[in-house]
Amino acid sequence: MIRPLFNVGHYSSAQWFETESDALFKRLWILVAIKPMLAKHLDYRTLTIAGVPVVLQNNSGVIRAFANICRHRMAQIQTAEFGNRPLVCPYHHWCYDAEGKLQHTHKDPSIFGLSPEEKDNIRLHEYKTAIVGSLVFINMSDQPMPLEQQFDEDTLSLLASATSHMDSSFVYTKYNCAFNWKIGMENIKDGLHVQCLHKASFPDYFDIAVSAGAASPAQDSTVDLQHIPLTQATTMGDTVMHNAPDLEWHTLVEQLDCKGHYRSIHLFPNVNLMIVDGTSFAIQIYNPLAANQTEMQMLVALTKPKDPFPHKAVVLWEHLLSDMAVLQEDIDCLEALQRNFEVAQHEIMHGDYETSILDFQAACLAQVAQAAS
Amino acid sequence: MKPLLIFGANRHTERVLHEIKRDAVYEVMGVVDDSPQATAMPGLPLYTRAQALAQFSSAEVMAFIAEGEDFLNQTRLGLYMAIKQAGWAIAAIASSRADIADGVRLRENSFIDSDVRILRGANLGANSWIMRGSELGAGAKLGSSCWVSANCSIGDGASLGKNCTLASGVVIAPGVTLPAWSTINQAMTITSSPSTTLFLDPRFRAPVTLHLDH
Repeated sequence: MIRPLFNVGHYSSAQWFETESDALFKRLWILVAIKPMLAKHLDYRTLTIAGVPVVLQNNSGVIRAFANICRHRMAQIQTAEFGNRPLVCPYHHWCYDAEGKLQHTHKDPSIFGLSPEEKDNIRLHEYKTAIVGSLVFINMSDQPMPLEQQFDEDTLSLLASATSHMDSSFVYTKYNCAFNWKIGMENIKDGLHVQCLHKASFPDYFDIAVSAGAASPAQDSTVDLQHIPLTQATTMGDTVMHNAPDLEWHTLVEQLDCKGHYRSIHLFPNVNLMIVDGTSFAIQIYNPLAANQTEMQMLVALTKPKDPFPHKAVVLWEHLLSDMAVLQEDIDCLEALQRNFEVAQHEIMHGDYETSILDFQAACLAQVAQAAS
Repeated sequence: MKPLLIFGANRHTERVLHEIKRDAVYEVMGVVDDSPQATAMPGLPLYTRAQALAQFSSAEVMAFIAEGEDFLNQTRLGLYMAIKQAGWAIAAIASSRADIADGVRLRENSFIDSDVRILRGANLGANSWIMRGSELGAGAKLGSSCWVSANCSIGDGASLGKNCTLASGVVIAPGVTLPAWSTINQAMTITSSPSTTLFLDPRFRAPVTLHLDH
C-alpha cells in the first residue's frame, strides 16, 4: 500500500478549495475552449474559472479573454454560454471594442459625464490567451508563466499536431457533479476501475493493463515536492484497441497515426483529452465550482472529413451517448464517494498501482507551495 | 387499389399496415426486410430485397419505407434514398382518420397517423412521420426526415429543421424554430428558438448542443 498525500479535507474543505483555486486556477494555463467554439467574428463563449465569470470573444479572427463583468455596474455582458454578438452590456448598453476598451456609453454621453481621459481608462480586465492547435487556454495571473513552463515541448507539439486535425463540428454538454474536481481527475488516472465499475459498459476491445506502478518521487519523504517540475504533472497514456470495429464513417475522415490506439493526455490540472482510434477526440474538463461541486464539461469532435459526411451529427451524438453511459457510472460512484467524505471516520488508502494518483497529488501540492513562496 | 411493397418489418410496419387496411387505397403485396431477425407480418409474404426486386416491377408497384427514428432518422432516410435511387416510386400514407387541411401536400414517404391534425398552410418535408394525436399548426413547417411522436403539438408558424425528433408529449410553442437535427427526448414545452442544434434527453443533466459547421 502507499500513503496518499491527500486526506479527506483536501477534497471537502472550503478553505483548501480557495487555496487551491488561487494556486492552480488563477496561476496556471487553463483549457477553456476549442477554436470551433469561436470560429466566426463575434462568436463568444462564457464560463466561470476560479469564481470569476470569463468571456472569450472572437473579433475579426483574434480570440481574446476578458472578465465578463461590465465596468459600469458590474453586470454580465454576455449572458449565454455560446453566442454571437458584440461586447455590449445588456444592462445599459455600454459598448466595448475588440480589445475590451470602452467605446461608448450612450448616444448621449453627457448623461454619464465621463471626461475623455476617464473614458480612455475604462476597459475590461483582459486575460492572456494561448492557442495550441485547436485548443484555447487562458491564464488569469497578472504575470502569466510561459506556456512552456507548464507543458513540455513534446506535449505542445503533440497537442498542436493532433488537434489541428480536429473538425469544426462538435457536440458539447456539461454536468454539475457533486464531487471535488480532484476526485474526477484521480478517477481517470485509475485504470483498475474500468474493468470493475465499467465491466458492462466499456468496450472490451480496450486492453487496459493494470499493474503495480513505477515508484513515484512523491513516495520518497526526502523529496522536496515543491521542486517537482510542473511539466511532469501532465501525463500521457496509450492503450491498444484490439479488434476495434472498423466503422463505415472512419473512411470519411482523416485518420491520425494513432489509429488502433486509445490515447489519453491528462493536461494538468484538470483536463482529460482523449484521441480515440485516430478518428475522434473526446475532451473532459473538470472545472471546480466548490469543494464538493465540479462542472464537468464534455465535448466530442471527429477528425476533419475528407469526403462528404452528411450524417456526421449521428456519429457525434452516438459517440457522446456511449461516453456518457460510462461517465454516468463514474458520476454516480464519485458523488457517493464525496458524500462519504463528510462522515468517514478513517482516511483514504491507495494500492501500489495508484502511483499516478500520488503524482497528481504531489503536483497539486507543489503548485500550492510554489504559489505561497 | 395501387400495389405497394413495404420495406421494413418492425413495429412501425404494424402501424402503417393498420392504417392502410382501413383506407383501401393500397394493396400491400408484401414486406421486404433483409435482416435475419425479420419476421413476416400475418397474412403477408416476407421478401428479401433481392427477391422483391426479382418479383416486382418498380414500374407497377410503389414502395414505402417503414423504419423508425433510430439514429436521428438516418436509418429510414438511408433506406428511402436507396429505394428511390433504385427507381421505385415512393408513396405517402395518411390515415383516413387524420384531419388534414386542404392544400397541404404530403411528400414521399411521409406517414400521417390517425387523429393527427394538420392545419392550413402547414408544410411537411419528405420522409417525415407524425404519429397519433399530434398537431401541426397553421403555417408550421416540418423539415424532411423528421419524427413527431404521439400527442405532440407544433404551434402555428413554428419551424422544425430536417432530421428533428420529438418524443411523445413535446410542445413547440408558436413561432419557435428548432434547428436541424434537434432532438427533444422528453415531454416538455419549448418556448424559445435555440441558437444551435439542441438535444434534450433525460440521460443528460444539461442540454446537449451540437455545433455543426455547415
